[in-house]
Amino acid sequence: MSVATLPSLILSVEPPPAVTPAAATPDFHTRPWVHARAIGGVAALGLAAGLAGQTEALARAPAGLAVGAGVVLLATPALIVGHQFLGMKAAPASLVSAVADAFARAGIVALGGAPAVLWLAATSEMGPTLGVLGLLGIGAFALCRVIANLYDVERAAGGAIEGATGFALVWTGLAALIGLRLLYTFAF
Amino acid sequence: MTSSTLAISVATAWLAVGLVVGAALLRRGAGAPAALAAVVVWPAMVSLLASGPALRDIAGPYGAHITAAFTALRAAAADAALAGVLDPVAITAVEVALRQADLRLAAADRLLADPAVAADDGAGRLVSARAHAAEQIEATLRQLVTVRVQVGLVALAGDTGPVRAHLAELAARARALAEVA
Amino acid sequence: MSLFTLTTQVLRDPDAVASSAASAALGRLAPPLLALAVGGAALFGLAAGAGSGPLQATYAAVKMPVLFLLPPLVVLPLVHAFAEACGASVPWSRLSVATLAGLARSGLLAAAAAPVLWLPLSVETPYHLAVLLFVASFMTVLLPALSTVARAVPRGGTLRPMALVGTALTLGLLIAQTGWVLRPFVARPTVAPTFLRAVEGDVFSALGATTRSATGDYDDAWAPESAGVWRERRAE
Repeated sequence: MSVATLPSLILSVEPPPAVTPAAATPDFHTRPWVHARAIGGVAALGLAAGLAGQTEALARAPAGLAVGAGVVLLATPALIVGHQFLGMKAAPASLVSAVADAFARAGIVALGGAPAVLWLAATSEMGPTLGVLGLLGIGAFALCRVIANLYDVERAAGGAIEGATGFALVWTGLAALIGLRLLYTFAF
Repeated sequence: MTSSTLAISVATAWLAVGLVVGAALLRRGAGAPAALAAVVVWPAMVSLLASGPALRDIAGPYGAHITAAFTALRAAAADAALAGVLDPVAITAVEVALRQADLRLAAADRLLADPAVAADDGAGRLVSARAHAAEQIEATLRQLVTVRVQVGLVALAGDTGPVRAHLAELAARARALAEVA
Repeated sequence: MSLFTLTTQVLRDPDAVASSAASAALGRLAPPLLALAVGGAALFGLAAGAGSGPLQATYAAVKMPVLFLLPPLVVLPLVHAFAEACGASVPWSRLSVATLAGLARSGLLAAAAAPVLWLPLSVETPYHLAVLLFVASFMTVLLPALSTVARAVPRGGTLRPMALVGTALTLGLLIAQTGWVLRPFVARPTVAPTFLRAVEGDVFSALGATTRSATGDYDDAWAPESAGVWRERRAE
């Protein structure tokens, strides 16, 4: 026995477009609300880690913000200068927005991880350790995302991919070393 | 503060937030079971606070008919003799899409109520599109009655496959509608 | 929808339940899904504590739903954040329904596994083996919940493997520490039943002490050096 076909519910509406991987020029111009959330996320992670500690541990809560800001301020000029000196095609503004986007995304991850760190810090004395591990984790995520973003902006500008990827790896290595040094200063 | 004290404090704070979320859901018209569930699992329920009033609370011209039709359909699905013939999840998906279509109809009605819009040259197309949309909603509501009749017939015959397949197809279309909306 | 129908649906096709992303569906599905998760977890707890007497079994039955529910709910914001950061955003309501559906499925599996766990624990299994059996059973029944949540996140995006590893590590930490806070579930037969022990140290310092004990070092003269994981060293 067959059932009469039910009428379509389409009311002058097109079927949704198929989801395809983004191949257009990447747009990293995130809204201020996203940046605020990212900054809040890193601060929340630090505060959660310092919750169960003494005043000294709480004072180290903004360490993540200091480390992130330090890496961006210290390493980004080297990125722009080196990128242009080597004749790569992406514009400096694209490079800056690629870095900002990566750090913004990492900050959002930090916000998501803050409740977990809060619970772990509240039930143990692992707070400061978790704070440092959390910062290392989101720092690694940010730098991996930077590599992906730099690859995308160079590809969109029509540049050589192999050179761009190699340069991105070298630069993120430098940024990682700067970040570790700053983390040691602010968190210990 | 010792770890025990801090852990108890965090647990108490969890329950306190849960009570606030549950109370807020009750005020918004969610049922008592949902509010009680929110006390325990409020991280999974906070999205209900941000979703706006429940869809059934704001209705277009066919709101009451849709409510009546799906109440009857769910009553049929809940009948023990017809267990498993209708997919409740697919029913919900169809209802949500139908209500969204009803709301779009209401939006079109509000536009046409504006004299400036009604006097525009393109208003005729809006009127005919509105009429077409209303026809489709009415046809779907009639078909839901047909589904109930055929569910009974199919259940007696034992061949539930076509009914479930058709409802699943309708649910898939409804999901596509909801994503577009 | 009857509870029986929902049970069947959750066991056969949790993804279909998880895809009920509309808010109306979340409000309607949350109570029965929670009931299934809590009921199944309680049965599992009953079986875990049964080897130490009815009182310990009752304590474990009360605490087990917390161990089931708390870690996935606390890690939910991280899953959502990672999905957004990787470029595969998923609505919070969809993730919520998927989590509840996954936990309900795990609760049902836990209820089914309860007699399997109870059998060896009822015949005076050595304590450490009993704990290992409990942990292995717990992780086995919890895995389907995690896979349901993982499938709720759309495919694609950048750095998804990194997100999965980060989420898995965080969830593992949460489960371990929450289990430590709520201990004991499987109690030593010679110890009087207790609901909770004082939260002292953390699961990793306990693991460290167990490791030292396993190497034959039972010295209790330890002094805390500093806060954190590496907080204990031998006193001079």
